[in-house]
Amino acid sequence: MTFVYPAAFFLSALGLGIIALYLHRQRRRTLEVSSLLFWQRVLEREPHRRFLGRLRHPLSLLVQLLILLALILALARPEPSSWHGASHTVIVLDRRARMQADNGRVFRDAIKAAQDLVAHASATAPVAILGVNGGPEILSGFSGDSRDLRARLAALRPTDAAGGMEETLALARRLLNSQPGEKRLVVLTDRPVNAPEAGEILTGKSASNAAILALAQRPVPASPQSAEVFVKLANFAAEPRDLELELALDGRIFDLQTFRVGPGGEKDYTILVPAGIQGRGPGVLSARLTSRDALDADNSARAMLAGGNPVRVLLLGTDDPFLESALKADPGVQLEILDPSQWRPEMADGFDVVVFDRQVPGDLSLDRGRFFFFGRSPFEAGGDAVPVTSPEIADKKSPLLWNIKSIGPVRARLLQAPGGWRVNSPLTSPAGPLLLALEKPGGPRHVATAFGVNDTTFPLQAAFPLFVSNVVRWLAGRDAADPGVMATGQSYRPAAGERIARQPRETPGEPDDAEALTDAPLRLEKAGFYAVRTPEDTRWLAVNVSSAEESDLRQAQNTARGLLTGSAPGGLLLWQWIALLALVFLVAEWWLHQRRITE
Amino acid sequence: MPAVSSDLFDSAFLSRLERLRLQVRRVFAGARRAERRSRRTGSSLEFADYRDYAPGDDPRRIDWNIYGRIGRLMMKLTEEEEDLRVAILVDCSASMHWRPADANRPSKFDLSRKVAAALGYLALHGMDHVEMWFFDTTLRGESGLFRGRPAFHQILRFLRNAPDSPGGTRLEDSLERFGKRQRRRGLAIVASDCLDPAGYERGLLALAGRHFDLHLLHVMDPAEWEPTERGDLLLRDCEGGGELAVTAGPGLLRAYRDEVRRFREGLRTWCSRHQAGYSFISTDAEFDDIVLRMFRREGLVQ
Repeated sequence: MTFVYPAAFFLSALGLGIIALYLHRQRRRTLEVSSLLFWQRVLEREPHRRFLGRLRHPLSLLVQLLILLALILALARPEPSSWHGASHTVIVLDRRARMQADNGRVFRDAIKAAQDLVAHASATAPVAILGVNGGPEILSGFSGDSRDLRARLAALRPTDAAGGMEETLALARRLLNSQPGEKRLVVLTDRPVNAPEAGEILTGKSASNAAILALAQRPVPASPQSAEVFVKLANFAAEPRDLELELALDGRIFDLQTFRVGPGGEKDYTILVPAGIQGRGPGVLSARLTSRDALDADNSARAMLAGGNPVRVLLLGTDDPFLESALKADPGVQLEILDPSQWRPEMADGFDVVVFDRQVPGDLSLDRGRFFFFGRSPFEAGGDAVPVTSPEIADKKSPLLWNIKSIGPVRARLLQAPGGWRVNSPLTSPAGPLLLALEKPGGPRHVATAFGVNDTTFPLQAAFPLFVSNVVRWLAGRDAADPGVMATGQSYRPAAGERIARQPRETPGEPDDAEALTDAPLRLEKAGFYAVRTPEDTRWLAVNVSSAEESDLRQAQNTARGLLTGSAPGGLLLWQWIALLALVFLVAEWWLHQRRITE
Repeated sequence: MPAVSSDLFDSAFLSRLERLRLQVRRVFAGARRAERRSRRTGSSLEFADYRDYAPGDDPRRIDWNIYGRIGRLMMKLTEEEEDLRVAILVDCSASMHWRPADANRPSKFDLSRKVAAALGYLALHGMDHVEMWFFDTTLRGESGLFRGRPAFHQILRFLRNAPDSPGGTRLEDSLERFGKRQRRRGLAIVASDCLDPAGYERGLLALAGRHFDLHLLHVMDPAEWEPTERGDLLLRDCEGGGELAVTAGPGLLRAYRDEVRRFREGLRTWCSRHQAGYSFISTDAEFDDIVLRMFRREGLVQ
């Protein structure tokens, strides 16, 4: 016999109080009567009544002490280990998006069932709780404190995560195998799982559901400022349904379509978002199914358009119509042109990119601003210009040369990579690099070409505006590998210098310094926009449910199976029996004292 | 001590009272002519018996019809209507003054005095002799003999001036003393709760055995046969009979009620066995009901 809360025995001191009150007996109430004749005759006729009257108080004292003893024992929570033997239970609680179905009823029922299970936890029958949330999560290690376990369960909410349960089941098996004695695995989810040894409590309910399974966008190669949006819809129902899809950019609806989708069918939809409707906000693309169904979490999806805010560009140079035209051709560029003589270094702070056309100011600081040196640069190796007949694209994946096959012959002033920079030379020649992309981690970027507008026929080519646009977007940071759209349940690993917000927002907005950030891998539990911050800027990561497994609720069931009867819920624990005994004593005391059956 | 008020006896009540008369089981010899049969033969119209003529008899009483039929001179005897001696003894012990603190009803003593006054009025109206006594452990007060309705006010005055008596009850001493003092028998009405620790038998027998026509008015308060107080009690006898600690629960109260019931049954049986009248009076009963209905039902009045 062990006691969970042996400190309860300190309450035994209350017994002294009861005895003291007993010794301080109540005075009898004096009552004047006309005669004692009849009372005396009764007591003479039935002398046992006089005896029981004297016994009543000690009997009450005894019963009161028994009540106190029973209460103390109940509070001490005795655990008769010899009765049941040690047993360990692992509860696997599904927290994935599917558990939000039926307005959260599925998860609430699962929590209630879990609380019923942990109510029987004890020192010899501890319970551990694992969550399924895209991957395994340990919500509680083995504990016999049912109150704490219930509190932990009560604080849980379902997430938007997708993903499998296999890892969690494997973890549960490892946990149980490390424990001696009787073991039990209970899975609380909405549909049967592939775990024959596990008891299942299924709280789901088969239902029809429609979902947005995918939302993606990409720049149109011929017009990078335009975006092509792709949406995949699915109808997880036994009958065809009309699905109304609403697409909005920065909160403004720009497309509304209704698709008839057959039972279990899918519908792919693609639409072009022209460059003209961009640039009025951060570029938040949202898709929404307007009809309500069993699961709300998969009725909306979100993404960030690559375009976004226009790139503010300052062109220092007034006599290069090719470069000026190329910059103006990019609708994502907000261009200002300035005479080079008016240049001041602080101007770099007001622009995303500064373009120096065949000149380099003397007071230039490379640590202040992002510069595109076209024709002349501080990185020239010196010497006269040399003809290069066939420049070689050394890095075909370079964002600077995206969709550019060749630039033709040039007359180049060869470049020399400076020290202290991370340098990429995607365009080279046997004589040396023709294009330098310089970058400091978390710092400025610069691009320099070994040729100017007069040194090549490249500006005459259709690819020249694309090259200029590529350079400007890379310098402005718009090239960055767009985190794009991720699915809930996946983990985001921040790159060096990156931190990600722990909680998503409904819509991107201004950076919030009070926002909790982490540079550790973060499991994306909820759908929404996660802020990804670098020292320079903030990007937004769109996260959607996008899981057919979560959205297909047709397999959900509401049943239970495989629970071990030996330690199944039901029946009272020892301390509850003792508490019940205390109640019986209390009733007996009330009967003895209040009803005075022993007078 | 509340006084007995003549207001209680309004004219309507008295007129109804005047239609009643005290009834006795036995015939007693009276002292004066009145309205009640006596053992003596007399000059009334009520036929009593015949007897042979003897010299000196009043020849006006010879029944000549009998002489015509059988040839013998027979004297026709008629009953003499004489007065009755009515003694009303009221227990004035402390137990008769007791009543529950929260009770809104008269004490046994107050009610007994009112009943005694009503019975006295009845007797006076019937031209009987009436005397009243208070007693507790002994005889306390004697009213003297009254006759005629004008004496009713004297009766009220006597009842109003009852002696204070914090003592107990000793029926034997009191009634024995009364019986010995009475040379002339008659109707003896005893109003008492009979709570005599020594018992009521010897006291009542002192009257019944002396050929009084005894009628017992057994007066009790409802709280005496149906106590409501519960719990741990220290009972104190109001007559100084000591204290008793009890725990009043359902069982004890049930046994108490049985004991009281046995006591009342015993009294009734004793009275019946000794040709005495018995009337049980509860202090919560209506006074009119007691006098005008219950006494008639019990045979005390007709």
